[in-house]
Amino acid sequence: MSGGEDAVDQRSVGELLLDADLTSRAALWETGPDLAKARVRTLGEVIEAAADLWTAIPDPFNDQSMNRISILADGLHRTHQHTGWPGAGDADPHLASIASSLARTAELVQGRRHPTAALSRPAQLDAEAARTRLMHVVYVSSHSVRVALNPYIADLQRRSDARQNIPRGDSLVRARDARERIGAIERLAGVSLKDKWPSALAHEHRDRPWPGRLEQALARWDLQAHRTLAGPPTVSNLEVIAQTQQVIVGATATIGAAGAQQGSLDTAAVERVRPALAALGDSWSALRGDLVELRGRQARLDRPLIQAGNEVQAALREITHDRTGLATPDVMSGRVDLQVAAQQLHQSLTAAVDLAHVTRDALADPELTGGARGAHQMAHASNAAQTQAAWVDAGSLHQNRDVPLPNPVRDRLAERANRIVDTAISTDSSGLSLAARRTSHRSEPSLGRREEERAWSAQEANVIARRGCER
Amino acid sequence: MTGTTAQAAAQDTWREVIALLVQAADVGYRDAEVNPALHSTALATRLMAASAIDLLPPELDHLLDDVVLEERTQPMSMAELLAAAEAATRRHPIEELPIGASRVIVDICDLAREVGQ
Repeated sequence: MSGGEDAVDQRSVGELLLDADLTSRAALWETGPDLAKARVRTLGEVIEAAADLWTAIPDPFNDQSMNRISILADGLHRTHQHTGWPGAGDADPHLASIASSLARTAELVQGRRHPTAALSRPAQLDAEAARTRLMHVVYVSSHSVRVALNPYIADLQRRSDARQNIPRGDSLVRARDARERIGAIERLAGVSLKDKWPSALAHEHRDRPWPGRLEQALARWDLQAHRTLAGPPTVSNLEVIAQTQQVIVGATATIGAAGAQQGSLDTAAVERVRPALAALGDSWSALRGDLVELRGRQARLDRPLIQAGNEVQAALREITHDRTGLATPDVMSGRVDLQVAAQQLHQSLTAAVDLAHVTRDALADPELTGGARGAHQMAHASNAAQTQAAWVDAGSLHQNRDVPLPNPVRDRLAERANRIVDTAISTDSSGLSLAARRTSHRSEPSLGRREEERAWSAQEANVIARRGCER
Repeated sequence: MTGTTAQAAAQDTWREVIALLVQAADVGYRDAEVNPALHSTALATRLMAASAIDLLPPELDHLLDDVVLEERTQPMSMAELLAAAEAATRRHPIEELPIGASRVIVDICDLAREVGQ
């Protein structure tokens, strides 16, 4: 954030834009329910100043991206005026500083440029860079508002769930509405920045897990892992598949234990599957460890695999985690029906038996290569009888080039793969009762999709019922 | 610095960011042996590193192995490495970093904040 303002800000256009960028990032590091309303209140000023500056920067292509964002921000402002939320109050210091820097930048640009002067090539490039920086500032600033809205909404949701009064001046409905609309601003800015990673579901915040999310994420992951392995196998893709499978196995154990503690899963069934899950997790982990040794940092992954992995990781995490630690069983059961989640995970582990076989085939593919240094170390450590001068030639070793895997490495990977297949089959069979049984305290026999839909409807109904009386 | 030189320097920095993310994921995997709850965070970091790699030209992938991180990063925790990755991105204005960098930067900030809390 910039320091105290002098009578005239002496900073250049570049310095002011850099300050705005760094200040917007600083806002991302700070979050909390107390910041939300001030940020919502001040975002409009940022976008207004950004729109003025965008207009002042010469643009032969007449890019309308900021105009569209400005229209959304104006609409949001009108809603705030009608509804009285977030109401009058202090501005957010980070966003206010950004708005001030952008306004000053617009003054400088407007003062320097003759409106009809043609732009030189370097000036065009400067203008393009300035627009990119400006859009980045809007992108990060709008994200910082959503980051602050998340805990604010979570706090109000907790109060609402506990049937406590929503404090005067606060509004769960308005805050949710603002978060959605600011999310649209963020997405527009992202598109304008040619965001290669469109706002997938992966990192989107949800107040409660969407009941179908886990099932869809697991199905998408399973499909994508198979598709990826159908192509030429790479060590890095295999490594991430192993790591993601390990996370799925770990989440199954966590959700199973939570379900048993909460009485929604049969304790004996959970206990029966526990050792098999531990063995399966260990076997995926052992393979991942070997593959890490065989890949360098140039571990490029299939983009659909990254997206599917992100989604399954996020779908599990929103059930099992509170920040970086595990959520309590009580919290987990408040988020989802643990029995339904356990069933979905078991289905995934059943499908994973096939994935284990496909992984074994991929590891046996003669075209599979690995980093020379890792391959050399692994082959050397194997103590296998050496039939040639070196497992890896010196030139490849020096450059750490990708090389065909030496036989001892292949043997080791085959051993790992066989272990995965065995433990996957064992887990699938021992987990059957986990998927089938349901404790007596629930009277409804129906399971699966229809139940999920009913659960969702109930949540929706609660939200609707609370509307209009939240204050 | 000319535009090309500046962009080349920014690509070097981006490779350093990737190396820090890969190291953060490795530290996460290591710590997850004691605290399995960290597996998920390590995976998220690994996927973020892959997203960052995807923004660079594939023909220059080999340069990633040449990145030497400072000695001071060796004892760093996952949270510290994520913070270091974000700090490294600040050396360049956004337009010099690879197209799509904004999203990765925001993701790094989000995860670093979450891990650091």
